[in-house]
Amino acid sequence: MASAGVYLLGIFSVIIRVVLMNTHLPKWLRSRNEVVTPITSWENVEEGFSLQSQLVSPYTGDLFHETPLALRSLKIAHYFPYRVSGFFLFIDVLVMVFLYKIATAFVNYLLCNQEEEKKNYSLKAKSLILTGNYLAWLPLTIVGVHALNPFSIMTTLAASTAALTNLAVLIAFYNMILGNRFLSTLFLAVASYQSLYPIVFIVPVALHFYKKSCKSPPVSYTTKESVYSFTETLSIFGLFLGLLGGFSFLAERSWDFVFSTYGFILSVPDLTPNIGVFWYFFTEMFEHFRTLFVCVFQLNAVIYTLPLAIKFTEKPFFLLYVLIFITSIFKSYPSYGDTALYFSLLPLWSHVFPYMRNTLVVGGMYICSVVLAPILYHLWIFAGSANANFYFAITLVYSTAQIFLVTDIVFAYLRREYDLYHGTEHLNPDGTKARIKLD
Amino acid sequence: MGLLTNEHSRNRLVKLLLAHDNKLCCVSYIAGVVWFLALAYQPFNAGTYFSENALLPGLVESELPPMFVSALQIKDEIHSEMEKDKKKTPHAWIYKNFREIGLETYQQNFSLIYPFRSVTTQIVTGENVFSILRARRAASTEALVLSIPLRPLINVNKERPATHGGIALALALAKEFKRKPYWSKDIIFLFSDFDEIGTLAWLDAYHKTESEYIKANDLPARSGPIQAAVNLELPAQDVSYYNLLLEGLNGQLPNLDLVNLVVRLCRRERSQVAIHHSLEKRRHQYSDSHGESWDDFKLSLSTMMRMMWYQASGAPSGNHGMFHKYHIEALTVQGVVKKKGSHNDIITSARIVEGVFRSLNNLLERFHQSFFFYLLPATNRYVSIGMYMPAFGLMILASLIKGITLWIVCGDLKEKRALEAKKLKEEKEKSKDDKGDEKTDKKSESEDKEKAEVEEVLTKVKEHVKEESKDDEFDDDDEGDPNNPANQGLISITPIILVSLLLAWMAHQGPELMMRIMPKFRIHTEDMVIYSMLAIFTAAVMYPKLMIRKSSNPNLMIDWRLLKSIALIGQTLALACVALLNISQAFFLAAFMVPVTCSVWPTKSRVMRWVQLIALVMVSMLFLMFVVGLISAWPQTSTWDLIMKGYANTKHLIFLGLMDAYLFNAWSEMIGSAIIFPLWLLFWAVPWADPSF
Repeated sequence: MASAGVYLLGIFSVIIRVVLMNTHLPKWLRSRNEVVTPITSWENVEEGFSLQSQLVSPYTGDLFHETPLALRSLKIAHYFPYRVSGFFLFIDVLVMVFLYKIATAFVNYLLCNQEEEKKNYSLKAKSLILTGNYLAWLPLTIVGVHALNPFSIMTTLAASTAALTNLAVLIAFYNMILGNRFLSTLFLAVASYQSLYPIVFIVPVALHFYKKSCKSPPVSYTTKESVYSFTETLSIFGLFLGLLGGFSFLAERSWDFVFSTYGFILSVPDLTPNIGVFWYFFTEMFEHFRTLFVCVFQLNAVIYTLPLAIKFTEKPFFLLYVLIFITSIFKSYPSYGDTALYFSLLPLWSHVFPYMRNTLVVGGMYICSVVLAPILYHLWIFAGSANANFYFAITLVYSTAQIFLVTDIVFAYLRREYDLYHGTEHLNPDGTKARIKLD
Repeated sequence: MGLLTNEHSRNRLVKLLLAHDNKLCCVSYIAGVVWFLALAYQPFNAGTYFSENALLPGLVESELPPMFVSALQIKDEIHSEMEKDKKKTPHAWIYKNFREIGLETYQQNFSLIYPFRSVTTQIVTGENVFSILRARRAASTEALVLSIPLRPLINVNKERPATHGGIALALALAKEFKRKPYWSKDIIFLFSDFDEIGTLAWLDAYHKTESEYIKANDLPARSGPIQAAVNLELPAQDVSYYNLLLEGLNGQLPNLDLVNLVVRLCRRERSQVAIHHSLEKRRHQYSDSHGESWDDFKLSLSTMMRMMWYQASGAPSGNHGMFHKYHIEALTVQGVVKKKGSHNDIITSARIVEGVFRSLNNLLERFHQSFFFYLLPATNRYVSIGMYMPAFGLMILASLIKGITLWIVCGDLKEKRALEAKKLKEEKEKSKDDKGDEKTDKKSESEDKEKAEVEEVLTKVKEHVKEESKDDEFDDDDEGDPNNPANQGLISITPIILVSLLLAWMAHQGPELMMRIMPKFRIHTEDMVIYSMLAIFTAAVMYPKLMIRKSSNPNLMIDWRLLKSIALIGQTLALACVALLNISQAFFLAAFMVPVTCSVWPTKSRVMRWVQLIALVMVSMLFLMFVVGLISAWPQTSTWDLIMKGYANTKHLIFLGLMDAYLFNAWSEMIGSAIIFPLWLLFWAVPWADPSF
């Protein structure tokens, strides 16, 4: 059961959001291209509604990029108290509930996992062993971080539909910890159906469920059983995706939506500035080379799945987290909504934080880019005195900060693993203190 | 990734920072200021040049009649018209005459609602007149504006001179321009009432936007997007030099090409041109070879400082400032009358304006080349953003260095405390069983080695800390105490941050809240504004005292290093942001704030605390405003007069800043009250903190 502290924090976070909703902030944020992108903007959803009510297919135009099922289900937002803001507040509360559930389940998972592997740990690594007492704070921390996370506050206020994808990913994550293959793949399919990139998260999910099905500890990932298990997970996932696609076709009676949703994500026709790496590059690009570089950039977003899957085969949750992080950096239309997701999940790895080394630099970069982005955008678009390079520079800083943070987390995680198996003190053969280097 | 993962080089950097942070701070700040000021020295800046080639053909021969008789006649006419009623502006006369020469001429009414509605519901109404000369060679797709403020003779003063020479010139030029076949952009003659307010009303209506306090009627006719605007303030007499005003709303500047154009055309007419009345010696005007002497440097520096002084206010220095709000390049040309010196009659002015408009007529694209961020040490020299930003960067680097050092010290202290607590525990355990076997002995040996190393680092840290707080004794007993605020970290300083945010919100909203209750007191509006500011300021000054009151310790129990580090990093970020928008404002703020905020520390000595508190008050926003008031009131007969006049000026300035924020959406008030003020409050808590932490 949740403690009183969690409830208090939850209520506090709702109060913050309600208070801010009554200021000028939501209106401003809905126009900020760091917070909403063409595929997550609520205004575009409204456009879809009105086109549909005129009996025009919303996919004939160039504005609407939500999936057909989202178009139909999002109408309930109008029946919520306080309508759209109420709906997104509700989604935000759901996100918080699932974050809390994930945290509690994850604590158990961590302790069980540690119990299993303890016998392999070095004797000198006692200080690194996690205790229930230490982890008891995790659910509270994670809810607190979500309550004060400026990115998730901005996403909620701006009514960005990225929140829906986030929710689906979180539910899939939660069911993965619980070991429910059916629901986990279902919600992963929903997330992929909504925004395509979560498709790569199936890799950690498949790894996890195979590992879980194996009873004896030395798990081999090249046996016949493993292939069988992977295929099973993949086919359940594929079935769900196919069903979602099929229902969409039945609802729309045409495949047009594929081009305005997935085609739009993959071929990046809209070059409105955002915090990602795509827009500036493709405004500068000769049309001739465009196809090649679109392929390269899209591959870049997903290619890391392979090496990471090899490195973290035994650690599917961490793999999933890193993949969430990386896709949100390199996807074609990233926004603060994606940042909100990985920031809220960050405390799950609080036990590796002592090994992180760039918190000040990375924190400074995040704050600078978030503060400077609107200023430079103003100078470029409204004052006309700066130009696109100014804004691009700051989005580059933002991307770099994200990359630093994710490499730092991966490094810290590996460093801690190393210490677990080799002890916390490292000596050179001559007895002097050794320094562990990452090359 | 060597940059971030190589511990070795990083540790070296950290050591360097810890050992020399104060020296580095001083050097970086002083070098920054000196470098910034040195930019005015001719060898360090660059000569202006045209980036936009399309502008140059305007510099050909004038096509105005050599004896521009009509201009002289009209000037006499308008003069007699204005003399009839000194309180009125000649709307009807302008309207009638522009109609007569066959141009589309319209009137636009607007009204100004007083922002403090509870004080008075009075509505001021005004009237703009504008006339459009349609270009023969284009379908009204682009336009240029010649704007002339209408000022009744009784309101004329030194800052806002009479403008009826400009009206006569506009009418005469309209007649001439109408005959020419080469216009490809419409020319709009705009005569605006109430200076900036009328201009803004007209621009709002032109772009179909609405503002909260200025209600403008819709315009009956329009042209295309406005490419550039020249605001002309020309008296009826012959002028001795032309004065350029560039600074727009929120420190925006017109494209340097437009400035170059006007300067070049004035030079062609052999007339003197200046920035903020800072006249250059004739000798140097036509050549770039000189300007390396001390006197020349002083002159350039004073020109640059004058420009920065006006830009720093964030208020527009003339009507052109309103055009900047709509992304239209604009500047003001003032004719200045002096008894001595050369005289340029209205025909010279006409040729200059004709040249400007013919050049602008040739523009093929919007102004986009040349510079938008610059400072001018002379009319023909410039300092671009690439030149002044490194210097400014050095200035604020000082506070960043100090902030990062304190952050590192904070982390080290925390580690050290954890280590000491651990050591104590271990020692206790050791004393329990003395007979440890050899294995543990070996272990402890290596541990000792490590400890020795750690201690070495820590003693360095400690020394550093001691250096900082020389006059207080470092209380060793306190460490390891769980109630020690340094162990609580962020939590101990959260109340301070919340209080300063609350006070900042009050300072931002204060005047408006006060205005609601004001009629009961029947005080003048300006007084009320400054009283409310003073009230909030006093509350702010007292807040550490109020927070101490309940506790037994006479000092604030906070982790002051963390607080100061956060405040310094925040200050760096804030100043960098302001510098992007308005470099002059950021420069003056940094020049005053950085040295004081970098050097505050908690102390037990009463004298030192008071010295720090006084220094902090001296760099507070309100006091800086008072200094500005004093400087603008400078030559007075006695000190008392100076202070009183300075106070009156400050009152007026703050009121104007507030009005600008309401009417024109100027940001200076917001920057002062919502960004700089809360930062200052964070620093204010530092001298009150308990020095033993």
